[in-house]
Parts: sequence; structure tokens; C-alpha cells
Amino acid sequence: MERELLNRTLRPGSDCLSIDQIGRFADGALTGTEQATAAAHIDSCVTCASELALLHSFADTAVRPEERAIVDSAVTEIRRREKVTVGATQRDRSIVRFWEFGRLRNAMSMAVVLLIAAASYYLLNPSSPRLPASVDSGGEVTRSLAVAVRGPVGDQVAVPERLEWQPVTGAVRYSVRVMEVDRRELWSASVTGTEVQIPDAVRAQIVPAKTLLWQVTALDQTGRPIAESGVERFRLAG
Amino acid sequence: MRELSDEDLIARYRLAPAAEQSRQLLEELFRRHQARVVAWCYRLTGDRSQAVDLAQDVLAKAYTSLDSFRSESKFTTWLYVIARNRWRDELRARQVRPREAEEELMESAEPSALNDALAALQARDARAIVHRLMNDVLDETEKRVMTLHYGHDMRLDEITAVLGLTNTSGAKAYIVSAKRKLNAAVKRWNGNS
Repeated sequence: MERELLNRTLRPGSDCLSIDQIGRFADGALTGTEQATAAAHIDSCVTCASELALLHSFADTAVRPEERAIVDSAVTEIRRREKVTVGATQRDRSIVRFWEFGRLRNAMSMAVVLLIAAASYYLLNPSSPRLPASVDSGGEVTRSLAVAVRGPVGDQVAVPERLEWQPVTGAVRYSVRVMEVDRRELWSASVTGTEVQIPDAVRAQIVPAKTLLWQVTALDQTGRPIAESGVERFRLAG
Repeated sequence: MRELSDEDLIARYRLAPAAEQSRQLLEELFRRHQARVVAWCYRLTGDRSQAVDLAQDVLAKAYTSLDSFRSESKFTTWLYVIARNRWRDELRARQVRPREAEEELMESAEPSALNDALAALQARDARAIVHRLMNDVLDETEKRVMTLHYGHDMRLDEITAVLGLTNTSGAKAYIVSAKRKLNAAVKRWNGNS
């Protein structure tokens, strides 16, 4: 009972600042009014004040003598893992990173196996493809990759701040759409990174038990779609 | 190069990202912060192997997302936001973790009056009242420890390390004293309301 009450009252509330906002507050990067509003909130909200304290703990982090040997060896290990050439183009960095991560490499290995299996099937069964009776004229493309999303997906304990996904090799831009369950578009954006902040106006529409959909499409240098995620669903737990 | 600020390094890098000079600029930028990120991750995880994985994730994310950095905030703040979000994901993923035996003992040893008094708050605006009482009766460290533990699901040993608490029993002592003070404050609040 006591723990539940403390959990409920000390977790970030709907009026709390996001981690990003607290960062900008700490740097004095908000507008004058926003800065004053944030200061007043942090002054009365122990949750946001603690978030700010965490930020300061990071900024003030200096390696302690007892940590020195461990940190030095850990840094050496990270550098050894980093086979990527720092300073390559953003695209090149993404590609090398993509293969650097073991779990993604494993996922891609599995995808290649499935691709070979599928190709073998069609080569051994050379029948003509069935065509639909009618074809939608809008935006049909051939996509060989799927964008793996990080989230939000499923029930959320708090209003999500951003949409995140895994990088796609060859993608230079991502197009993101947030939709109502009837596929009516609420908001869309085009970004170069693998995440995008959800604007406050859209976040305000994320209310308990209301399901929203989102989808991300990876685009190459010519703006051609090369991969697409599934239509992901999420909602704020009621 | 070493006299340049983080933000200046990034600005110069963006002038010619493919140039050899730019590679050195980014090496310098990340070299400056690797140890800080690793140390912070080590304090959070208390385990070298986990710290390496977490720090590598954070640095890789920062590296591949550098184009999204806006110079309106400091690079270290931006790096922190990435690290904090990554760590928050970890915390959410382990929300089903079994509670620490030490916590169980600590709570069972406390007077039940605290439970009763706090339970009485539920029908009211509990959040606002608990925050006000904490601001009124707890010192800054007690507030931080309580909030990081109950609001952000951090373990006591993590809080001890991240906040650099040097007392013998670390965060545990602050939880005990904070609850004792809150207990008394809630009783007074009950008496006045």
C-alpha cells in the first residue's frame, strides 16, 4: 500500500517536464516565459527536481580514484569494439554501426536466411504472380526491408515523448505518420535521425485508453521509400 | 583543437563532415566524454560488463544522431538526455524485478502508522500533498533519494553511487529518515485537516 502510493505520487505526472525540457531548462535554452514556468514547476515538484539533480550528477561526473582502473579498461574495451572510422559520413556511420551491433547482425542474418528460402521457393515454383483485380494508383513501391521500431508500442505508463526506430542501411531520411485508428493522419514529420519528438499538441491527444497508430518509412537519397515499418499501435494505459 | 568547446568542435565538423580534419574533430569530441559516460553507467549498473554495453549504446546513439544536435543546448546536456532515456528504458524493462530483500526488511520494520496515514491521503489530491509535505519536511538529499527510488524505480545501491552518498548505509539511511519525517508530517496534516 505504502509503496504503491509513493510510486503513484512520485512518478512523473502529466504536468511534469520531459527530460529534454529539463535539459534545456538547465542550459537556459528555454524562452523567458518557459524558463520561468519551468523554474516554478521544478521548485514545487520533487520529481522534476530529482530529474534535474540526476542531470547535474552526470554533468559533475568525474572519475573517482576507486573507479579509475575499471573506467580505463572499459573505455579501452569500447574503443576496441569501435571499428567504425569516426568522421565518415552520417550514412556510412549508420551502415557500419548497423553491422557492429551483434543483435542487429543476428537479425539481419536471419532475414538473409529467410530471403534465400523465399527466393528458392519462387525459383522452384515459377508460376505467374496473381494480380489484383484493381490496382490502387497511389504510391506503390517495392520495399525489401522493414523498419524495426523501438517504440512506443502497446500500453504505455506515461505519454510518450518521442517515436523511435532502428536505422536502416541506405536511408537518409525517415517519414513518420501518427494516425487515429481510422488511419486519419494526426501528424507527420520528416527527419534524418532515428527518433522524432512528438509535439505537445499531439501528445495532448494521447489520453488513457485511446489507441493511436504510427508508421515510419525510410527514404533513400532520391526520396524513394526503401523500407517501411508495420502500422504500430500504442495507447496510454487507462 | 583541445581548446575548442564541444559546440565549436561540432560546428567545425559540420562545415566538412567528410574531411580528415572532421574525423579528428569528432574523435576529440567523443574522447572527452567517454570516461564520463562510462563512469556514470558504471555507477548506475554497478557492473563493469553492463556499464560497457550501456555506455557503448549511449555513445553509438550520440554518434549516429549527431545531426539532430541543436546548438541551443550544451553537448553534455544532449549526451545526458540520450543516456538518461536509454537508462529509463532499462528501468522500465525491469519493472517486474523482484524487490530487494533489504527493502522488504526495511519496510516491515517500520511502524504501520505511516501506511495508515498515507493511505488516508488517497481520496484527496495525494500527489500534490505528498510533494508539498516532502518539500516542507525533507532535506534535499532525502527528497532526491525518495523520488529516485519510488518515482524512478532506481535501486538503493544505484542511488548511492549516482548521488555519491558517502555515509555508511548510503541511500537506505535517507529512506528511513525520510519516511520517519513524512510519517510525522502526515500525522500532523491528518490532525489539521
